[in-house]
Amino acid sequence: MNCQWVQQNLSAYMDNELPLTQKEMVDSHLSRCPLCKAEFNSLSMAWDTLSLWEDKQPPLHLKESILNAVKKEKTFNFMRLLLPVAAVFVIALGIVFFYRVLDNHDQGVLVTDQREMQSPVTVESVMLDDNEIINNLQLLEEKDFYESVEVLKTIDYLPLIEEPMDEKSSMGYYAS
Amino acid sequence: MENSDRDIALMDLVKSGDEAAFEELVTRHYQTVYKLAYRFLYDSPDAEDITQEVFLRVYRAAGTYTPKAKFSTWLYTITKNICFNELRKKKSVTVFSIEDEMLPELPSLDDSPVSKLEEAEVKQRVLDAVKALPANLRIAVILLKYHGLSYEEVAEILGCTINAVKLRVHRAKNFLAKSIGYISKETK
Repeated sequence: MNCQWVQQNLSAYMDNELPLTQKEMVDSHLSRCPLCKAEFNSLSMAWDTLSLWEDKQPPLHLKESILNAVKKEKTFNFMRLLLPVAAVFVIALGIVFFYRVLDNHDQGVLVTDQREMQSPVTVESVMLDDNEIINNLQLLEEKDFYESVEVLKTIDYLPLIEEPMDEKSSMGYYAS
Repeated sequence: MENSDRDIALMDLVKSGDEAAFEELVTRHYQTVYKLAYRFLYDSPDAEDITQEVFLRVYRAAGTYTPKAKFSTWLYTITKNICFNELRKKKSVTVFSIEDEMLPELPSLDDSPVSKLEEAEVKQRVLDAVKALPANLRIAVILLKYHGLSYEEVAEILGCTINAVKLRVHRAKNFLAKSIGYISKETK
């Protein structure tokens, strides 16, 4: 075992990282070689001196900062998931609303067209309250009528139709 | 339960969304991470940012974490990687790369032997000497000396062989001994 090998392995020897047999060989060499012994002492002292650099404690708020940062990340991830879902929902709602409006408009036009085709009548739609509905209906005595009122209330409007006398229906109205 | 087993059990809980488990992991390790980052970069605000980033990465990786090694080894590796990235940002393009291990010129010291110096002066030499080490040597010294890791653990964290760690540590100790003044600069 020569000095070069020993000096190259002095660090590992100091850190107890040599296999037992090699450690014993270095022990033996150091007891006989003042040059390697001096090198060993210098390295040991330098290494021990590193302990003068004390630990620096982290600031008191650091742990809370870490937990807050992770909470923000969680919220951000949740929003990232939620946003596309919300966007799809809004778009779907918009489409449904659009088609409902379109549908109501078309129904009104369709009824108007049908009326115009059937007879030369003018149709205007008016908002009727409950009393007006009742006053204009002929079947006041019939028990079913009162049940029908509830149904009629759900209708947005009842068109007021001026019809030719010979085609007047029993109720006086054509259904919208 | 061993520390390492406890960490793995906590990560399993974090995987299933347990916030208390994550808080316990942070409590157990944030000081260690901060101390490593601080000694490596010698900058407290940077060390705080890095510590935060380390635990954000732990949180993000919780879903796919598989315990191939000790949790602490994994944590040290993440910390080292972020520290090196930070160093790359700070260094100019003309400076040697992180992987370069060329030792700098030894600082000029006064003729007083170390034994005659005040403790504060010796401490300053220690700080200057460690800061002057190339990054790969510095991180090895910090992990061995200040975190008590073995050569095997350091090799795993640095992604090199145990022999490479031995060589780096030997060169670092030699440089430190000369920088602090325990070995004459003329010595080979």
